[in-house]
Amino acid sequence: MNIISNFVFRQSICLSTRHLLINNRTYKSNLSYDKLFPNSKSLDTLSGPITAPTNESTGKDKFNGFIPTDKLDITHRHARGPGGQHVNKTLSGVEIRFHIDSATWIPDWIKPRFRDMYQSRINRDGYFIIFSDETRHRLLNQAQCLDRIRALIRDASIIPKGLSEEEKKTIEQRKQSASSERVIRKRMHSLNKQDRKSSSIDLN
Amino acid sequence: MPIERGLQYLRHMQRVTLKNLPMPLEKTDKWKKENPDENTIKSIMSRKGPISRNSLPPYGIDPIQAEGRLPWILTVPKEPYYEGVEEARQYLPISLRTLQRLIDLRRINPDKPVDLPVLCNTKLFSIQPDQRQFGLQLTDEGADLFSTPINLEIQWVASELAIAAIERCGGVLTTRYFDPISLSALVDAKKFFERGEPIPRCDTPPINAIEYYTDPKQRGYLANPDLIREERQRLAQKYGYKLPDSSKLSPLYHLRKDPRQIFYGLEPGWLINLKDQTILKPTDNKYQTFYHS
Repeated sequence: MNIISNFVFRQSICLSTRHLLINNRTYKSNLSYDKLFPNSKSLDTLSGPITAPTNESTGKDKFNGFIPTDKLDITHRHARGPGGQHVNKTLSGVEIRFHIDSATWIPDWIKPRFRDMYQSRINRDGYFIIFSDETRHRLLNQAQCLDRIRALIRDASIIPKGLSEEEKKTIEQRKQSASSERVIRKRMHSLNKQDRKSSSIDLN
Repeated sequence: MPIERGLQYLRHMQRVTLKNLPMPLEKTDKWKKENPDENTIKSIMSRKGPISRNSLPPYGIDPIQAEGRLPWILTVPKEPYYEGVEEARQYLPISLRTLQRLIDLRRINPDKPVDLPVLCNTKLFSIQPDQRQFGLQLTDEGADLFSTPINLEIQWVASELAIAAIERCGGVLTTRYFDPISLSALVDAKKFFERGEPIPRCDTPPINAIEYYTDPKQRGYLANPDLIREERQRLAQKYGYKLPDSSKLSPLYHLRKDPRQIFYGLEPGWLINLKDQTILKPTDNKYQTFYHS
């Protein structure tokens, strides 16, 4: 047991003022956070600048992946399939609906393509419906619905690159050269067939 | 010139003998007996058998004693199912369901930070540091039921769902490593203070655990706070909830221990006297540099 000499007596603060004890004293060792991460923008894990998108994407930009959960209509429903009492009682299925035309978080140029591609998921009133009950947890089913929505919007935002003029010219050229070669081949083949026949001149 | 080379050897070498000089060896008869060349080996050895037919078994196997059956070392299989079990770290599970239950029954106060001594004081978990147990781990059973904001400090989290369930309600989670000596102080804090030892300084985690505790996805205590913020936002978007405003939370949710600190509000090196209600702090330079390093 180490003997500590020259120690100082101090009256300790009693337990009811634990808040003061915690907030006023700050112990900093060699491994404190300001020494481990001197270049970080903010040492607090709750507040500070973030590079990921925190706001909706505006009308003409690309879809940045942010979905505001306030504007979605989320309902919990009964899940399907076997499971006895647990499946009958707990509401672990998640259904998400939203109106496409009034959704400000989808860029405008994606909306008509979106409606064309996913007609089977869209209502007569214009609501997009998606439902998931594949896991036992409500949170995971919700995550799956949102993941699917993001993937569908991303698929709808891919516009195939058209052919340039040079490419069109080369394609036409190739077609023409192929057809002219075919014609030549055909004529040669027909000459072959004609030579096999008996000619009318020899009979005379 | 060979003469000059010889003179250089004399200048630079401590001792010059026949064996030291880097000269081509003179092949005496004795040397030839010890190192026979290929043709003599072939004339000595038998012309039959696995040696001459280039079909020797690998080292360690004796084809003669096997007598037509497989040798023992090939017949006995290797079954490495429990390999590494003596060094593996164990964590006792605590589910979100039990946490919520303890809060509802008022055995834990969620307004104050909840860490290992608070959970061990409920006397529901018996953690034994000498049995390679390193604390508690959070499981995701009851993720849908959990609904209180809490500042939680736990030793291991295996699933992302558990982290999301806590942050959805407005709480904070950090994973923290304690070495066995600090653990024995935390598991029964009152008994530790009655022993009369100074508060230990927590060690850094072992090498196979550093990757886990510097990972922002597991909310490790040695991870970059910038990256942890990004991960919080990513989980909020993935699971579909909104992160609460950090300015409205009480300052106890922003509270975090230093990596060398074990108890909230107490520094390593301090001696606590429960009977006289005093704290003794070391003033010697030697101890101060050690406990602040």
